[in-house]
Amino acid sequence: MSEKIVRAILRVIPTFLLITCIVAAFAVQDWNVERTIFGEEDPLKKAGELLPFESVAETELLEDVNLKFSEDRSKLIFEAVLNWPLNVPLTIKEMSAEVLLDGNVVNISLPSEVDIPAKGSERLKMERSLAEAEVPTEISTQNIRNMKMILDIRGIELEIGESGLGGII
Amino acid sequence: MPEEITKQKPEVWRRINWPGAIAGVLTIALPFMGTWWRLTLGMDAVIMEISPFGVDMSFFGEEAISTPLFWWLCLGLKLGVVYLGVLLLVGSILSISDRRAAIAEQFVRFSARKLLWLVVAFVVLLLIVITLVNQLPGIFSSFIGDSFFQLQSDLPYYLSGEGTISGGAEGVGMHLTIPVFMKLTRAFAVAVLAATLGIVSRVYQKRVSIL
Repeated sequence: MSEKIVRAILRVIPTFLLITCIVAAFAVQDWNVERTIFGEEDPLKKAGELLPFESVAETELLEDVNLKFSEDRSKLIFEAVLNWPLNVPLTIKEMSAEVLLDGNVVNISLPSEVDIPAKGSERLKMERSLAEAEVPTEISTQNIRNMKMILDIRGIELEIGESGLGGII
Repeated sequence: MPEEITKQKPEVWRRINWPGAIAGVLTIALPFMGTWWRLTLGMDAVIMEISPFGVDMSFFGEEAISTPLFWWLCLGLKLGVVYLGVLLLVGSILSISDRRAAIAEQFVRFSARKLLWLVVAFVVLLLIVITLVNQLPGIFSSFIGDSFFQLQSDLPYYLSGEGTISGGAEGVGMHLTIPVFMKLTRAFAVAVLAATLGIVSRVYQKRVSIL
């Protein structure tokens, strides 16, 4: 066999393999071009399901927010239910807020990290002991400001400020 | 007569293109050795495993889309690389035969450098993607409600190591920090080794053919 023919055959075989695979891809999908190129699932729909941050922004993360004193009025207690809309577990690494008490600012924060299961809810509780002089007669969620949360979603850290919490406070 | 046989035997072994034979075996094995490069966002939030023979992605534990056409193209590339490996192996061994020396040289000449181009193309493509992602922050921008959400990435150009993607939307009061981990795998090291041996085999083949 001449050198030229061998060289031509060597070059044709990879091209033939590639073309065969492309033809096979279409043949297996009954020559449906759209299904062959994009697959059976709508990629935009699938991407929308998988990319979560927009849905986090649209969800009211905190509900049933309550700010009150303990029965003996020695503690300031913040309670809320956190609704987690995504199908992955979440850890609340930090959560803090400032509470205005008769013109004074008191900081409250979560005592420890809180784990929330995928698509789960968890009641969060922040407490702070108060000196007698600090205790006002009335209090409401209107006194809360600068609320911040740091969430850990499988190593991705999401810091949400007050306006990112759905404007519920 | 026995003296003649003992003289010929080592010569036969010397006429095998050993770098080519080893490169051929490694090249044949390469498509079955798994991913060449692994990218992880967060702990395991997003995992991308990339090689010229396929891309596997998972988002929060869910497998991402793989289209039939892409799958078949990857299969074509796998077969193509196995074909190159077989040619390199056969060419390297055939050089022991005087009658087949010419065709052996053609096999080696045809297949020896191709894997290097594949490795180079793979690295260049990754570098282009990393450069684009680092230089064009608009890639990760979108509107969330009325607020503009933008991420800035700082990914290492040497394809292995740690980087970050961070940013957020001021109006929404959101800030995101995504640690990024990149790693070139052992399969990539094998590919580099096979490609290097392929180049060596091309030079070696000339030496073998004049024996």
